[in-house]
Amino acid sequence: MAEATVIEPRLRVRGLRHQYGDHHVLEGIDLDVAPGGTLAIVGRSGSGKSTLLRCLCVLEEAQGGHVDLDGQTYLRNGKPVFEPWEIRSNSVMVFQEYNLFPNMTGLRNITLALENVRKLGRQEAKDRAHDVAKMLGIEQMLGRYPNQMSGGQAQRLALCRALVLEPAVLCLDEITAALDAETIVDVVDAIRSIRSYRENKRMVVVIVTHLMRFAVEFADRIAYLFQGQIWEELPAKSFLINCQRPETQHFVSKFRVPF
Amino acid sequence: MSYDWDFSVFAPYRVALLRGVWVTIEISVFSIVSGTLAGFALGAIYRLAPLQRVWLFLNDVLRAVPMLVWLFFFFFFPYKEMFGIKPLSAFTCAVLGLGLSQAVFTADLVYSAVDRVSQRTILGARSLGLRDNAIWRHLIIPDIIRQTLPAMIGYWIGVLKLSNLSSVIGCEDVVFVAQVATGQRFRTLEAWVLVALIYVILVLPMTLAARRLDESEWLKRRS
Repeated sequence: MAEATVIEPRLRVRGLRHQYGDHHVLEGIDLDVAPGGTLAIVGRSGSGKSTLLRCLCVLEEAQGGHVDLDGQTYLRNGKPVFEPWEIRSNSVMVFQEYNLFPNMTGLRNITLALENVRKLGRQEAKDRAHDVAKMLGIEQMLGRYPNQMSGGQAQRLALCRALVLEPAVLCLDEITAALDAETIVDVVDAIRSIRSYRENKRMVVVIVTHLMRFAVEFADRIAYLFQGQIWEELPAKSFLINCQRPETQHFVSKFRVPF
Repeated sequence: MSYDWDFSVFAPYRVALLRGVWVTIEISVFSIVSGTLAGFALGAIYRLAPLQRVWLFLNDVLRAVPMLVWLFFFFFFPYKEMFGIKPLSAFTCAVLGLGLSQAVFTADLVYSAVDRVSQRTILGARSLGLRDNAIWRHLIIPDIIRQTLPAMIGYWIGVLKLSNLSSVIGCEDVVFVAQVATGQRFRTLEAWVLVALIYVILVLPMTLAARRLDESEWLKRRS
């Protein structure tokens, strides 16, 4: 009998809780993502999807729960075990609104964290920035400032800035929300191409999106977040047909028409 | 009716006037540079220290005092009686008075500019693991400079023009020299036309620079 191979999850979330005052946003989130896995989190607006990402990236403090990365706990009882900046540099977030540095060129947007966080020399940082920018098709944008870029270019720059850090976890928060359909295709291609870069094969990607097709095509698994909990989690390709719970079915019924 | 213009009577005052211009420039530059730097530090201190409201109120109180009153305050302050030291020179008093005025103005600008730095930009920096000191250095301070520079240049021009108040406490700036010259040559109109021209030459480049800055792409690089 063949031995079943058990792949240890790279990212393990247990009982993650978050509340704003009396309002419980996350009520015990459990998640596992395999090395190199991509998890899409879907749900209605206000269901806590973005809060979940922010808690994973320690941009917001959780009130409870544990998060492990490669078997090492970095959030214990909701509190960061290491310096928050250290965790953030390994669990990087890309935002819907790009959140670029408006006073810096595209190149400097990318190299700033490489020099200050990863402690690379200026030239090495530049070389890496050029490498990744080339993969994402924005090399000619490196001399421009964010206010001279289109939405798609700005979003790819934001991705590039995160990817050069080679994070263990990449969180993408509604990165397609401000883009038109054609640009989304560019960005999706860009994200796919990043897997081949250096150590990114094992990178865990967690995306929050309201585009079901984006989730289905891009992720391995989809988790439906409802009432602060992971209501149902399934392989992405079969999520639309195999989801069992009535709330999930009601949610996906709106997405029969893609995009 | 005609007025017989005669600037030639001021020819002997050429050197004195040039020296006056130099004093005007010196007082202005010292006051502007020291006041602006001190103001930046004060603004950051008000922002980071506890009891922000109290500091801000004190700053407002200092800001309400006219520049001339500050000059008199520093000039007539009883240094000997209070601290046992020699009175300060008129020049130092002028720099202190104008510089203080510049500092409290700058502090107020900087204090409120910190609030207007885009939280989105800061969040973007945090999300990459940048620490607070790097965020201040690379993002917050450059943004504060962009926000405050247009208003700051306006105030610098104001300080340059009001540096002539220092003539009241005896600084030999361009206005002081003109006063002396008119007292001796009785050509008042010519003297003040000359002084006006000198100020135009000093101020105009700053005004033009301010306009260029206002229209520049550099200033727009804020979110």
